[in-house]
Amino acid sequence: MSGYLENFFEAQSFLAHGYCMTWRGDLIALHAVSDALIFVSYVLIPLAMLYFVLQRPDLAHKGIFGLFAAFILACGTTHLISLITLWEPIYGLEGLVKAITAAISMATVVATGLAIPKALRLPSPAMLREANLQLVDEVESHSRTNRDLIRLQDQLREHMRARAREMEAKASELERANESLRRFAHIASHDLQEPLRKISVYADLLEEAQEKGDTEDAERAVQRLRTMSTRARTMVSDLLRFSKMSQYEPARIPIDIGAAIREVAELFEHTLAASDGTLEIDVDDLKAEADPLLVRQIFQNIIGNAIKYVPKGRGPRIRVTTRREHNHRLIMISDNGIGFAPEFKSKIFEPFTRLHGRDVADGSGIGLAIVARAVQGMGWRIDVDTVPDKGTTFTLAIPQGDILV
Amino acid sequence: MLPKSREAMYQNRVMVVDDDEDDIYLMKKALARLQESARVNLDLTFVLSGSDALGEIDRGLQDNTLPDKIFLDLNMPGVNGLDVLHHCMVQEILDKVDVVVITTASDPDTRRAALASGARSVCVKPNSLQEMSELISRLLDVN
Repeated sequence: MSGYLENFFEAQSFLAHGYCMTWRGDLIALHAVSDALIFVSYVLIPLAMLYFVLQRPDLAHKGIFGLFAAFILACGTTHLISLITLWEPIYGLEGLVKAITAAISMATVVATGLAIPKALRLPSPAMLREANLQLVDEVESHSRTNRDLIRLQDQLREHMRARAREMEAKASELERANESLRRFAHIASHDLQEPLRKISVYADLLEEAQEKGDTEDAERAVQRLRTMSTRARTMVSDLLRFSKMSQYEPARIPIDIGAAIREVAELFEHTLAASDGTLEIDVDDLKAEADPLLVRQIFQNIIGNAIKYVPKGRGPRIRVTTRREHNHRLIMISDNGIGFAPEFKSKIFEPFTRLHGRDVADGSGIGLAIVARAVQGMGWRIDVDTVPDKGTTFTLAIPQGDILV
Repeated sequence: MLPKSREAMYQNRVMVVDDDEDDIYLMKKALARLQESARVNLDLTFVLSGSDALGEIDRGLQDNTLPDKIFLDLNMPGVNGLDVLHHCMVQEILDKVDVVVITTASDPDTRRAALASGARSVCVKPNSLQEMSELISRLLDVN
Protein backbone atom coordinates (compact mmCIF):
# COMPACT_ATOMS: atom_id res chain seq x y z
CA MET A 1 0.00 0.00 0.00
CA SER A 2 2.66 2.43 1.07
CA GLY A 3 4.61 1.29 -1.96
CA TYR A 4 1.61 2.21 -4.21
CA LEU A 5 1.21 5.64 -2.67
CA GLU A 6 4.91 6.34 -2.96
CA ASN A 7 4.70 5.29 -6.55
CA PHE A 8 1.54 7.46 -7.05
CA PHE A 9 3.19 10.65 -5.72
CA GLU A 10 6.64 10.12 -7.25
CA ALA A 11 7.61 12.76 -9.78
CA GLN A 12 10.73 11.39 -11.39
CA SER A 13 9.10 9.40 -14.18
CA PHE A 14 7.08 12.38 -15.65
CA LEU A 15 8.01 15.41 -17.63
CA ALA A 16 7.25 18.88 -16.23
CA HIS A 17 4.67 21.01 -18.08
CA GLY A 18 7.42 23.35 -19.12
CA TYR A 19 8.75 20.60 -21.21
CA CYS A 20 5.47 20.42 -23.18
CA MET A 21 5.96 24.16 -23.89
CA THR A 22 9.45 23.37 -25.12
CA TRP A 23 10.65 25.70 -22.28
CA ARG A 24 9.60 28.72 -24.23
CA GLY A 25 10.24 31.48 -21.75
CA ASP A 26 7.38 33.81 -22.69
CA LEU A 27 4.73 31.05 -22.65
CA ILE A 28 5.94 29.69 -19.34
CA ALA A 29 6.05 33.19 -17.86
CA LEU A 30 2.48 33.86 -18.98
CA HIS A 31 1.23 30.66 -17.39
CA ALA A 32 3.28 31.13 -14.26
CA VAL A 33 2.22 34.76 -13.65
CA SER A 34 -1.41 34.02 -14.46
CA ASP A 35 -1.56 31.01 -12.16
CA ALA A 36 0.19 32.95 -9.41
CA LEU A 37 -2.20 35.88 -9.68
CA ILE A 38 -5.24 33.58 -9.78
CA PHE A 39 -3.96 31.76 -6.70
CA VAL A 40 -3.37 34.96 -4.76
CA SER A 41 -6.80 36.24 -5.76
CA TYR A 42 -8.45 32.93 -4.85
CA VAL A 43 -6.85 33.15 -1.41
CA LEU A 44 -7.79 36.79 -0.86
CA ILE A 45 -11.45 36.33 -1.90
CA PRO A 46 -12.21 33.73 0.85
CA LEU A 47 -10.37 35.95 3.36
CA ALA A 48 -12.57 38.89 2.33
CA MET A 49 -15.62 36.68 2.63
CA LEU A 50 -14.48 35.52 6.07
CA TYR A 51 -14.04 39.09 7.16
CA PHE A 52 -17.54 39.98 5.88
CA VAL A 53 -19.14 37.02 7.65
CA LEU A 54 -17.35 37.90 10.88
CA GLN A 55 -18.51 41.52 10.62
CA ARG A 56 -22.16 40.49 10.08
CA PRO A 57 -23.05 38.10 12.88
CA ASP A 58 -26.75 38.45 11.94
CA LEU A 59 -26.08 37.12 8.44
CA ALA A 60 -28.29 34.21 7.43
CA HIS A 61 -26.91 31.12 5.56
CA LYS A 62 -23.40 31.42 6.91
CA GLY A 63 -22.72 27.80 5.87
CA ILE A 64 -22.99 28.55 2.19
CA PHE A 65 -20.55 31.42 2.58
CA GLY A 66 -18.07 28.96 4.15
CA LEU A 67 -18.66 26.50 1.37
CA PHE A 68 -18.05 29.16 -1.29
CA ALA A 69 -14.88 30.22 0.54
CA ALA A 70 -13.62 26.64 0.60
CA PHE A 71 -14.56 26.17 -3.08
CA ILE A 72 -12.67 29.27 -4.14
CA LEU A 73 -9.69 28.40 -1.97
CA ALA A 74 -9.63 24.89 -3.47
CA CYS A 75 -9.73 26.34 -7.00
CA GLY A 76 -6.84 28.63 -5.97
CA THR A 77 -4.87 25.61 -4.83
CA THR A 78 -5.25 23.90 -8.25
CA HIS A 79 -3.74 27.02 -9.81
CA LEU A 80 -0.85 26.89 -7.29
CA ILE A 81 -0.28 23.25 -8.27
CA SER A 82 -0.41 24.19 -12.00
CA LEU A 83 2.23 26.85 -11.30
CA ILE A 84 4.44 24.24 -9.64
CA THR A 85 3.89 21.63 -12.39
CA LEU A 86 5.41 23.99 -14.90
CA TRP A 87 8.70 22.85 -13.46
CA GLU A 88 7.91 19.93 -11.10
CA PRO A 89 5.70 17.12 -12.51
CA ILE A 90 3.77 16.43 -9.24
CA TYR A 91 0.79 15.09 -11.17
CA GLY A 92 -0.20 12.71 -8.40
CA LEU A 93 -0.65 15.56 -5.90
CA GLU A 94 -2.29 17.64 -8.63
CA GLY A 95 -4.84 14.88 -9.25
CA LEU A 96 -5.57 14.62 -5.53
CA VAL A 97 -5.99 18.38 -5.20
CA LYS A 98 -8.28 18.39 -8.24
CA ALA A 99 -10.31 15.53 -6.79
CA ILE A 100 -10.75 17.44 -3.50
CA THR A 101 -11.66 20.57 -5.43
CA ALA A 102 -14.17 18.56 -7.49
CA ALA A 103 -15.76 17.25 -4.31
CA ILE A 104 -16.01 20.72 -2.81
CA SER A 105 -17.36 22.06 -6.13
CA MET A 106 -20.07 19.44 -6.27
CA ALA A 107 -20.99 20.01 -2.67
CA THR A 108 -21.20 23.73 -3.48
CA VAL A 109 -23.41 23.00 -6.49
CA VAL A 110 -25.78 20.97 -4.31
CA ALA A 111 -25.76 23.56 -1.53
CA THR A 112 -26.36 26.35 -4.06
CA GLY A 113 -29.23 24.38 -5.60
CA LEU A 114 -30.76 24.05 -2.18
CA ALA A 115 -30.08 27.67 -1.20
CA ILE A 116 -31.49 29.36 -4.32
CA PRO A 117 -35.19 28.96 -3.42
CA LYS A 118 -34.44 30.27 0.07
CA ALA A 119 -32.35 33.09 -1.37
CA LEU A 120 -35.16 33.96 -3.74
CA ARG A 121 -37.45 34.30 -0.77
CA LEU A 122 -35.10 36.79 0.80
CA PRO A 123 -36.40 40.33 0.19
CA SER A 124 -34.37 42.38 -2.21
CA PRO A 125 -33.46 45.96 -1.25
CA ALA A 126 -36.06 47.18 -3.75
CA MET A 127 -38.65 45.02 -2.07
CA LEU A 128 -37.44 46.22 1.29
CA ARG A 129 -37.68 49.79 0.12
CA GLU A 130 -41.18 49.12 -1.13
CA ALA A 131 -42.07 47.40 2.13
CA ASN A 132 -40.57 50.30 3.99
CA LEU A 133 -42.61 52.79 2.03
CA GLN A 134 -45.71 50.74 2.68
CA LEU A 135 -44.85 50.68 6.33
CA VAL A 136 -44.44 54.44 6.38
CA ASP A 137 -47.78 54.76 4.63
CA GLU A 138 -49.34 52.45 7.11
CA VAL A 139 -47.90 54.33 10.06
CA GLU A 140 -49.13 57.55 8.57
CA SER A 141 -52.56 56.13 7.97
CA HIS A 142 -52.57 54.85 11.53
CA SER A 143 -51.71 58.20 12.94
CA ARG A 144 -54.35 59.73 10.66
CA THR A 145 -56.87 57.27 12.05
CA ASN A 146 -55.67 58.14 15.49
CA ARG A 147 -56.12 61.84 14.83
CA ASP A 148 -59.58 61.13 13.39
CA LEU A 149 -60.43 59.14 16.48
CA ILE A 150 -59.28 61.93 18.75
CA ARG A 151 -61.30 64.43 16.73
CA LEU A 152 -64.35 62.18 16.83
CA GLN A 153 -63.89 61.77 20.54
CA ASP A 154 -63.73 65.53 20.94
CA GLN A 155 -66.80 65.92 18.77
CA LEU A 156 -68.62 63.32 20.78
CA ARG A 157 -67.65 64.98 24.00
CA GLU A 158 -68.76 68.38 22.67
CA HIS A 159 -71.97 66.83 21.38
CA MET A 160 -72.68 65.32 24.75
CA ARG A 161 -71.94 68.59 26.49
CA ALA A 162 -74.27 70.41 24.09
CA ARG A 163 -76.92 67.79 24.68
CA ALA A 164 -76.56 68.18 28.44
CA ARG A 165 -76.87 71.93 28.08
CA GLU A 166 -79.91 71.45 25.86
CA MET A 167 -81.51 69.16 28.42
CA GLU A 168 -80.78 71.65 31.17
CA ALA A 169 -82.35 74.43 29.13
CA LYS A 170 -85.35 72.22 28.39
CA ALA A 171 -85.72 71.41 32.07
CA SER A 172 -85.63 75.03 33.15
CA GLU A 173 -87.98 75.94 30.30
CA LEU A 174 -90.36 73.27 31.53
CA GLU A 175 -90.02 74.61 35.03
CA ARG A 176 -90.84 78.11 33.81
CA ALA A 177 -93.80 76.76 31.86
CA ASN A 178 -94.97 74.96 34.97
CA GLU A 179 -94.64 78.07 37.07
CA SER A 180 -96.48 80.06 34.41
CA LEU A 181 -99.20 77.47 34.30
CA ARG A 182 -99.53 77.52 38.07
CA ARG A 183 -99.88 81.30 38.10
CA PHE A 184 -102.11 81.13 35.07
CA ALA A 185 -104.45 78.74 36.89
CA HIS A 186 -104.43 80.94 39.98
CA ILE A 187 -105.18 84.11 38.06
CA ALA A 188 -107.72 82.45 35.83
CA SER A 189 -109.57 80.98 38.75
CA HIS A 190 -109.42 84.22 40.72
CA ASP A 191 -110.57 86.50 37.93
CA LEU A 192 -113.17 84.06 36.73
CA GLN A 193 -114.57 83.72 40.21
CA GLU A 194 -115.74 87.33 40.19
CA PRO A 195 -118.40 87.19 37.43
CA LEU A 196 -119.45 83.69 38.46
CA ARG A 197 -120.08 84.79 42.03
CA LYS A 198 -122.21 87.65 40.76
CA ILE A 199 -124.20 85.35 38.52
CA SER A 200 -125.00 83.33 41.58
CA VAL A 201 -125.93 86.50 43.53
CA TYR A 202 -128.21 87.85 40.79
CA ALA A 203 -129.89 84.52 40.21
CA ASP A 204 -130.73 84.61 43.88
CA LEU A 205 -131.94 88.23 43.67
CA LEU A 206 -133.99 87.43 40.57
CA GLU A 207 -135.75 84.65 42.39
CA GLU A 208 -136.57 86.92 45.30
CA ALA A 209 -137.73 89.76 43.02
CA GLN A 210 -140.07 87.39 41.23
CA GLU A 211 -141.50 86.15 44.50
CA LYS A 212 -142.15 89.73 45.56
CA GLY A 213 -143.32 90.77 42.11
CA ASP A 214 -140.66 93.49 42.00
CA THR A 215 -140.26 93.94 38.24
CA GLU A 216 -137.67 96.68 38.56
CA ASP A 217 -135.34 94.46 40.59
CA ALA A 218 -136.04 91.53 38.33
CA GLU A 219 -135.13 93.57 35.29
CA ARG A 220 -131.92 94.75 36.85
CA ALA A 221 -131.02 91.21 37.89
CA VAL A 222 -131.60 89.90 34.37
CA GLN A 223 -129.54 92.71 32.88
CA ARG A 224 -126.70 92.09 35.32
CA LEU A 225 -126.89 88.35 34.76
CA ARG A 226 -126.44 89.00 31.10
CA THR A 227 -123.47 91.34 31.69
CA MET A 228 -121.77 88.94 34.07
CA SER A 229 -122.21 85.91 31.88
CA THR A 230 -120.79 87.94 28.98
CA ARG A 231 -117.84 88.97 31.13
CA ALA A 232 -117.17 85.40 32.19
CA ARG A 233 -117.44 84.24 28.62
CA THR A 234 -115.09 87.01 27.44
CA MET A 235 -112.56 86.10 30.08
CA VAL A 236 -112.63 82.44 29.21
CA SER A 237 -112.26 83.22 25.54
CA ASP A 238 -109.44 85.69 26.31
CA LEU A 239 -107.62 83.03 28.22
CA LEU A 240 -108.22 80.55 25.46
CA ARG A 241 -107.11 83.11 22.91
CA PHE A 242 -103.93 83.68 24.78
CA SER A 243 -103.19 79.99 25.11
CA LYS A 244 -104.05 79.43 21.47
CA MET A 245 -102.20 82.50 20.24
CA SER A 246 -99.08 80.54 19.51
CA GLN A 247 -101.05 78.58 16.92
CA TYR A 248 -103.09 81.53 15.70
CA GLU A 249 -102.64 82.29 12.00
CA PRO A 250 -102.85 86.07 11.62
CA ALA A 251 -104.98 87.31 8.74
CA ARG A 252 -103.83 90.03 6.34
CA ILE A 253 -106.75 92.32 5.75
CA PRO A 254 -106.57 96.00 4.77
CA ILE A 255 -107.67 97.92 7.85
CA ASP A 256 -107.81 101.53 8.95
CA ILE A 257 -105.51 101.52 11.96
CA GLY A 258 -106.75 104.90 13.23
CA ALA A 259 -110.35 103.73 13.13
CA ALA A 260 -109.41 100.52 14.92
CA ILE A 261 -107.74 102.52 17.70
CA ARG A 262 -110.73 104.85 18.04
CA GLU A 263 -113.01 101.84 18.24
CA VAL A 264 -110.92 100.45 21.08
CA ALA A 265 -110.92 103.86 22.76
CA GLU A 266 -114.71 103.78 22.98
CA LEU A 267 -114.42 100.87 25.39
CA PHE A 268 -112.57 103.10 27.81
CA GLU A 269 -114.77 106.20 27.55
CA HIS A 270 -116.49 105.50 30.84
CA THR A 271 -113.39 104.67 32.82
CA LEU A 272 -111.56 107.69 31.44
CA ALA A 273 -114.39 110.03 32.32
CA ALA A 274 -114.55 108.59 35.85
CA SER A 275 -110.84 109.06 36.42
CA ASP A 276 -110.72 112.51 34.79
CA GLY A 277 -108.46 111.22 32.04
CA THR A 278 -107.94 112.06 28.38
CA LEU A 279 -107.14 109.96 25.37
CA GLU A 280 -105.92 111.78 22.29
CA ILE A 281 -105.68 109.82 19.07
CA ASP A 282 -103.73 111.52 16.33
CA VAL A 283 -103.65 108.73 13.76
CA ASP A 284 -105.10 109.63 10.37
CA ASP A 285 -104.74 108.06 6.98
CA LEU A 286 -102.95 104.99 8.16
CA LYS A 287 -104.16 101.90 6.40
CA ALA A 288 -102.22 98.69 6.58
CA GLU A 289 -102.55 95.02 5.93
CA ALA A 290 -102.97 93.50 9.36
CA ASP A 291 -105.05 91.21 11.49
CA PRO A 292 -107.97 93.24 12.95
CA LEU A 293 -108.27 91.01 16.01
CA LEU A 294 -104.60 91.31 16.85
CA VAL A 295 -104.58 95.08 16.28
CA ARG A 296 -107.49 95.36 18.66
CA GLN A 297 -105.73 93.21 21.24
CA ILE A 298 -102.61 95.37 21.05
CA PHE A 299 -104.34 98.72 21.59
CA GLN A 300 -106.85 97.44 24.08
CA ASN A 301 -104.13 96.11 26.33
CA ILE A 302 -101.73 99.04 26.03
CA ILE A 303 -104.40 101.73 26.50
CA GLY A 304 -105.97 99.67 29.28
CA ASN A 305 -102.65 99.57 31.09
CA ALA A 306 -102.12 103.30 30.54
CA ILE A 307 -105.41 103.97 32.33
CA LYS A 308 -104.85 101.40 35.04
CA TYR A 309 -101.29 102.23 36.01
CA VAL A 310 -101.46 105.91 36.98
CA PRO A 311 -100.25 107.41 40.24
CA LYS A 312 -102.94 108.04 42.80
CA GLY A 313 -104.83 111.19 42.12
CA ARG A 314 -103.39 111.72 38.65
CA GLY A 315 -105.75 111.70 35.68
CA PRO A 316 -104.45 109.54 32.85
CA ARG A 317 -103.17 111.52 29.84
CA ILE A 318 -102.78 109.22 26.89
CA ARG A 319 -101.60 110.18 23.41
CA VAL A 320 -101.43 108.01 20.32
CA THR A 321 -99.36 109.48 17.48
CA THR A 322 -97.60 108.27 14.34
CA ARG A 323 -94.33 108.98 12.67
CA ARG A 324 -92.69 107.89 9.43
CA GLU A 325 -89.36 106.26 9.68
CA HIS A 326 -87.08 104.61 7.19
CA ASN A 327 -88.74 101.26 6.29
CA HIS A 328 -91.33 101.57 9.04
CA ARG A 329 -94.38 103.44 10.20
CA LEU A 330 -94.24 104.04 13.93
CA ILE A 331 -97.17 104.36 16.31
CA MET A 332 -96.40 105.80 19.72
CA ILE A 333 -98.70 105.34 22.71
CA SER A 334 -97.57 107.61 25.55
CA ASP A 335 -99.00 107.89 29.01
CA ASN A 336 -98.28 109.78 32.21
CA GLY A 337 -98.47 106.68 34.36
CA ILE A 338 -96.32 105.19 37.05
CA GLY A 339 -93.88 103.67 34.56
CA PHE A 340 -91.56 100.98 35.73
CA ALA A 341 -87.92 100.39 36.47
CA PRO A 342 -86.13 100.19 33.09
CA GLU A 343 -84.31 97.01 34.14
CA PHE A 344 -87.62 95.17 33.72
CA LYS A 345 -87.86 96.22 30.07
CA SER A 346 -87.08 92.75 28.81
CA LYS A 347 -89.48 91.11 31.23
CA ILE A 348 -92.67 93.01 30.70
CA PHE A 349 -93.68 91.16 27.55
CA GLU A 350 -93.41 87.77 29.22
CA PRO A 351 -96.67 86.19 30.31
CA PHE A 352 -97.73 86.64 33.92
CA THR A 353 -95.19 89.33 34.63
CA ARG A 354 -96.52 91.75 37.17
CA LEU A 355 -94.17 94.56 38.01
CA HIS A 356 -96.49 96.19 40.45
CA GLY A 357 -98.15 94.59 43.40
CA ARG A 358 -101.88 94.43 43.64
CA ASP A 359 -101.57 97.52 45.81
CA VAL A 360 -100.73 99.44 42.62
CA ALA A 361 -103.30 97.92 40.33
CA ASP A 362 -104.89 94.62 39.69
CA GLY A 363 -103.84 92.81 36.56
CA SER A 364 -103.38 89.34 35.24
CA GLY A 365 -99.99 89.94 33.67
CA ILE A 366 -101.35 88.53 30.45
CA GLY A 367 -102.04 91.84 28.74
CA LEU A 368 -98.57 92.70 27.48
CA ALA A 369 -97.86 89.05 26.75
CA ILE A 370 -100.83 89.10 24.40
CA VAL A 371 -99.52 92.35 22.90
CA ALA A 372 -96.10 90.79 22.34
CA ARG A 373 -97.57 87.74 20.65
CA ALA A 374 -99.89 89.83 18.51
CA VAL A 375 -97.01 92.08 17.42
CA GLN A 376 -94.85 89.09 16.66
CA GLY A 377 -97.65 87.36 14.79
CA MET A 378 -98.01 90.25 12.36
CA GLY A 379 -94.29 90.80 11.93
CA TRP A 380 -94.40 94.15 13.70
CA ARG A 381 -91.95 95.23 16.35
CA ILE A 382 -92.58 96.79 19.72
CA ASP A 383 -90.33 98.78 22.01
CA VAL A 384 -90.93 100.51 25.27
CA ASP A 385 -89.41 103.53 26.99
CA THR A 386 -90.25 104.39 30.51
CA VAL A 387 -89.42 106.83 33.26
CA PRO A 388 -90.62 105.69 36.66
CA ASP A 389 -93.41 107.94 37.95
CA LYS A 390 -93.36 110.01 34.74
CA GLY A 391 -94.80 107.75 32.11
CA THR A 392 -94.33 105.08 29.52
CA THR A 393 -94.19 105.16 25.74
CA PHE A 394 -94.81 102.04 23.69
CA THR A 395 -93.59 102.28 20.11
CA LEU A 396 -95.03 99.96 17.50
CA ALA A 397 -93.19 99.61 14.19
CA ILE A 398 -95.20 98.47 11.18
CA PRO A 399 -93.05 97.35 8.24
CA GLN A 400 -93.40 99.68 5.24
CA GLY A 401 -94.40 96.68 3.14
CA ASP A 402 -97.64 96.33 5.10
CA ILE A 403 -98.57 99.99 4.78
CA LEU A 404 -101.28 100.74 2.22
CA VAL A 405 -101.65 104.50 2.77
CA MET B 1 -123.59 99.07 81.55
CA LEU B 2 -125.80 100.44 78.82
CA PRO B 3 -128.58 98.33 77.38
CA LYS B 4 -127.48 96.38 74.35
CA SER B 5 -129.80 98.21 71.97
CA ARG B 6 -128.40 101.59 73.00
CA GLU B 7 -124.89 100.25 72.56
CA ALA B 8 -125.79 98.85 69.15
CA MET B 9 -127.22 102.18 68.06
CA TYR B 10 -124.03 103.88 69.16
CA GLN B 11 -121.78 101.41 67.36
CA ASN B 12 -123.45 101.11 64.01
CA ARG B 13 -121.90 103.92 62.14
CA VAL B 14 -120.55 102.11 59.09
CA MET B 15 -118.51 103.16 56.08
CA VAL B 16 -118.62 100.79 53.11
CA VAL B 17 -115.70 101.18 50.71
CA ASP B 18 -116.22 99.32 47.45
CA ASP B 19 -116.00 100.30 43.79
CA ASP B 20 -118.17 97.39 42.72
CA GLU B 21 -121.71 98.64 42.15
CA ASP B 22 -123.11 95.11 42.18
CA ASP B 23 -121.75 94.44 45.61
CA ILE B 24 -123.01 97.78 46.89
CA TYR B 25 -126.43 97.01 45.49
CA LEU B 26 -126.39 93.64 47.18
CA MET B 27 -125.24 95.10 50.45
CA LYS B 28 -127.96 97.76 50.37
CA LYS B 29 -130.52 95.04 49.76
CA ALA B 30 -129.21 92.99 52.63
CA LEU B 31 -129.16 95.99 54.94
CA ALA B 32 -132.68 96.95 53.96
CA ARG B 33 -133.81 93.42 54.75
CA LEU B 34 -131.99 93.55 58.05
CA GLN B 35 -133.58 96.84 59.00
CA GLU B 36 -136.99 95.40 58.26
CA SER B 37 -136.51 92.42 60.53
CA ALA B 38 -134.36 93.76 63.32
CA ARG B 39 -134.02 96.90 65.32
CA VAL B 40 -130.88 98.19 63.69
CA ASN B 41 -130.16 101.81 63.44
CA LEU B 42 -127.45 102.26 60.89
CA ASP B 43 -125.59 105.34 59.83
CA LEU B 44 -124.32 104.17 56.46
CA THR B 45 -121.83 105.86 54.16
CA PHE B 46 -120.97 104.34 50.78
CA VAL B 47 -117.60 105.32 49.37
CA LEU B 48 -116.93 104.23 45.80
CA SER B 49 -113.13 104.40 45.61
CA GLY B 50 -110.05 104.08 47.72
CA SER B 51 -109.01 107.67 47.23
CA ASP B 52 -112.47 108.89 48.32
CA ALA B 53 -112.13 106.68 51.37
CA LEU B 54 -108.89 108.40 52.32
CA GLY B 55 -110.64 111.80 52.10
CA GLU B 56 -113.57 110.56 54.18
CA ILE B 57 -111.28 109.18 56.84
CA ASP B 58 -109.29 112.42 57.05
CA ARG B 59 -112.51 114.40 57.28
CA GLY B 60 -113.81 112.05 59.97
CA LEU B 61 -110.59 112.53 61.93
CA GLN B 62 -110.91 116.31 61.69
CA ASP B 63 -114.62 116.49 62.56
CA ASN B 64 -114.45 113.61 64.99
CA THR B 65 -117.05 111.74 62.96
CA LEU B 66 -115.09 108.58 62.29
CA PRO B 67 -117.21 105.48 61.62
CA ASP B 68 -117.22 102.57 64.04
CA LYS B 69 -116.69 100.09 61.29
CA ILE B 70 -115.30 100.16 57.78
CA PHE B 71 -116.23 97.40 55.35
CA LEU B 72 -113.39 97.50 52.90
CA ASP B 73 -112.93 95.94 49.48
CA LEU B 74 -109.34 95.26 48.45
CA ASN B 75 -109.44 95.15 44.68
CA MET B 76 -109.92 98.76 43.57
CA PRO B 77 -108.05 100.69 40.89
CA GLY B 78 -105.74 103.46 42.04
CA VAL B 79 -105.84 103.54 45.82
CA ASN B 80 -106.78 100.01 46.79
CA GLY B 81 -107.95 98.41 50.02
CA LEU B 82 -104.48 97.77 51.36
CA ASP B 83 -103.61 101.44 50.83
CA VAL B 84 -106.68 102.45 52.79
CA LEU B 85 -105.69 100.07 55.58
CA HIS B 86 -102.20 101.51 55.58
CA HIS B 87 -103.63 105.01 55.84
CA CYS B 88 -105.73 103.94 58.84
CA MET B 89 -102.63 102.52 60.46
CA VAL B 90 -100.61 105.67 59.87
CA GLN B 91 -103.45 107.83 61.21
CA GLU B 92 -103.63 105.51 64.25
CA ILE B 93 -107.36 104.99 64.11
CA LEU B 94 -107.37 101.20 64.05
CA ASP B 95 -108.03 100.96 67.79
CA LYS B 96 -111.13 103.11 67.36
CA VAL B 97 -112.37 101.80 64.03
CA ASP B 98 -112.86 98.12 63.12
CA VAL B 99 -111.78 97.59 59.56
CA VAL B 100 -113.24 94.45 58.04
CA VAL B 101 -111.93 93.42 54.66
CA ILE B 102 -114.53 91.92 52.34
CA THR B 103 -112.95 90.61 49.19
CA THR B 104 -113.28 88.09 46.38
CA ALA B 105 -109.71 86.91 46.77
CA SER B 106 -109.71 84.33 49.50
CA ASP B 107 -106.17 83.09 49.05
CA PRO B 108 -103.90 82.92 52.11
CA ASP B 109 -101.51 85.60 50.79
CA THR B 110 -104.23 88.22 50.51
CA ARG B 111 -105.62 87.31 53.91
CA ARG B 112 -102.20 87.53 55.52
CA ALA B 113 -101.45 90.87 53.86
CA ALA B 114 -104.74 92.35 55.03
CA LEU B 115 -104.38 91.11 58.59
CA ALA B 116 -100.77 92.30 58.70
CA SER B 117 -101.98 95.76 57.64
CA GLY B 118 -104.33 95.92 60.58
CA ALA B 119 -107.64 94.48 59.34
CA ARG B 120 -109.81 93.15 62.17
CA SER B 121 -110.94 90.24 59.99
CA VAL B 122 -111.04 89.16 56.36
CA CYS B 123 -114.29 87.91 54.82
CA VAL B 124 -115.04 86.45 51.43
CA LYS B 125 -117.69 88.21 49.37
CA PRO B 126 -120.95 86.25 49.63
CA ASN B 127 -122.64 84.31 46.86
CA SER B 128 -126.24 85.23 47.69
CA LEU B 129 -128.44 87.78 49.37
CA GLN B 130 -128.98 85.37 52.22
CA GLU B 131 -125.25 84.98 52.78
CA MET B 132 -124.76 88.74 52.59
CA SER B 133 -127.46 89.29 55.19
CA GLU B 134 -125.91 86.73 57.48
CA LEU B 135 -122.45 88.20 57.03
CA ILE B 136 -123.62 91.72 57.82
CA SER B 137 -125.62 90.68 60.86
CA ARG B 138 -122.59 88.87 62.14
CA LEU B 139 -120.29 91.82 61.46
CA LEU B 140 -122.72 94.31 63.00
CA ASP B 141 -123.26 92.03 65.93
CA VAL B 142 -127.04 92.16 65.44
CA ASN B 143 -129.28 89.56 67.17
